[in-house]
Amino acid sequence: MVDFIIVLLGWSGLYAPMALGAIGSTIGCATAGQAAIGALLDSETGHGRLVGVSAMPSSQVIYGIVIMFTLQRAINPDNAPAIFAIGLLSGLALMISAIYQGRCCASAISAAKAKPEIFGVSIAPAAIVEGFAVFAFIFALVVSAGIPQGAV
Amino acid sequence: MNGGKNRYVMLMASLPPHSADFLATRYPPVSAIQLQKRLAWLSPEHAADLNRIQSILYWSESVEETDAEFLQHAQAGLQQIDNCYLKAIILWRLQLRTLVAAMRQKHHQPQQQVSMQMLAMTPFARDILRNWQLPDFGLRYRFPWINDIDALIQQESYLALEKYLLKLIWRYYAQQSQGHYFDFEAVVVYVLRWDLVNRWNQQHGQTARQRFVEIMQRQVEEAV
Repeated sequence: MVDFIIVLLGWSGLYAPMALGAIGSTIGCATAGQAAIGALLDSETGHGRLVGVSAMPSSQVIYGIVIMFTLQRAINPDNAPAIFAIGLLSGLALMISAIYQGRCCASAISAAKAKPEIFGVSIAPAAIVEGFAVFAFIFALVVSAGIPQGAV
Repeated sequence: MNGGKNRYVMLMASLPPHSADFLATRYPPVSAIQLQKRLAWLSPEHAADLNRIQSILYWSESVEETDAEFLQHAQAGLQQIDNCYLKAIILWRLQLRTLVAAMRQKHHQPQQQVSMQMLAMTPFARDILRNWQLPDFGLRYRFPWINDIDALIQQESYLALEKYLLKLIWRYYAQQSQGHYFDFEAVVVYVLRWDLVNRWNQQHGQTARQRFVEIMQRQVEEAV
């Protein structure tokens, strides 16, 4: 029974980066997307780039998919705890970064529609948040190299 | 997940920002019709709250009410608003109004203190009555701007006083809007600031004179 629970946690950890990344990207893109739609009503030009910025939080789900494939291996009680820990924590980091990046993008859209000349600078905070998601992604890949491959 | 801090992202993003120097602008950033169209996106509960706030703070629309009626109306409205942040904004505005009214009364009728009922919306009623002879009612440490207002009342510079009060309220709203960008609180502050701009742009000497004459006539008729 204990082995079953450990393996179950391992599978949860395997899917967590993808699922949590998708949740974060959904919320982030929805927040920024609503801001973009609102901004369309109050601006005459630059609609494409406003909508483009609203897609920035979608990168987290891509990182989550890559982490999931990197962690993918035959899961057994030896490697399940490591997969669970790395998968869950990297997934949480991706989810939270996507949600907050969505808020940064919404603010950037709201500011840039009124003052188009600050468009580039206004997305800098969103890019910084993206940097933290990249850290979580890269180091999840690095650390996952040490997880033992399970017997198939 | 569409609630709280991000509930009105689309609404707020669709509104143009206010100018930093609103006294220099000739028009509000968005027309009243467009603003009403955007406010139609509010939930029914929030729309009702906004109406309550407007009915308390837009006192030019409740000029026919007596002080007692206005207080009753304001207290009933405040009880129905379940948001401490918004209640604090309303109370600050009512407090400012009360202080300015008390200072005006003291300037014109120094011997006649204001009633406790008139001071019902300020927690400093006792300080005002106790320190009636002081120009700032002993409240200058709590309200650093009170001496400036008193000086303008003493000089009877009413246009300058109006500008000073509008700027003071504008700055207060700007401070209060920090940390609120896409939520209901942000919408309320935007609408209140819009009202300030709109009010300032509707200032018209001829209309003001006509209104003053009407009020005077009404007062004289009531007195007779």
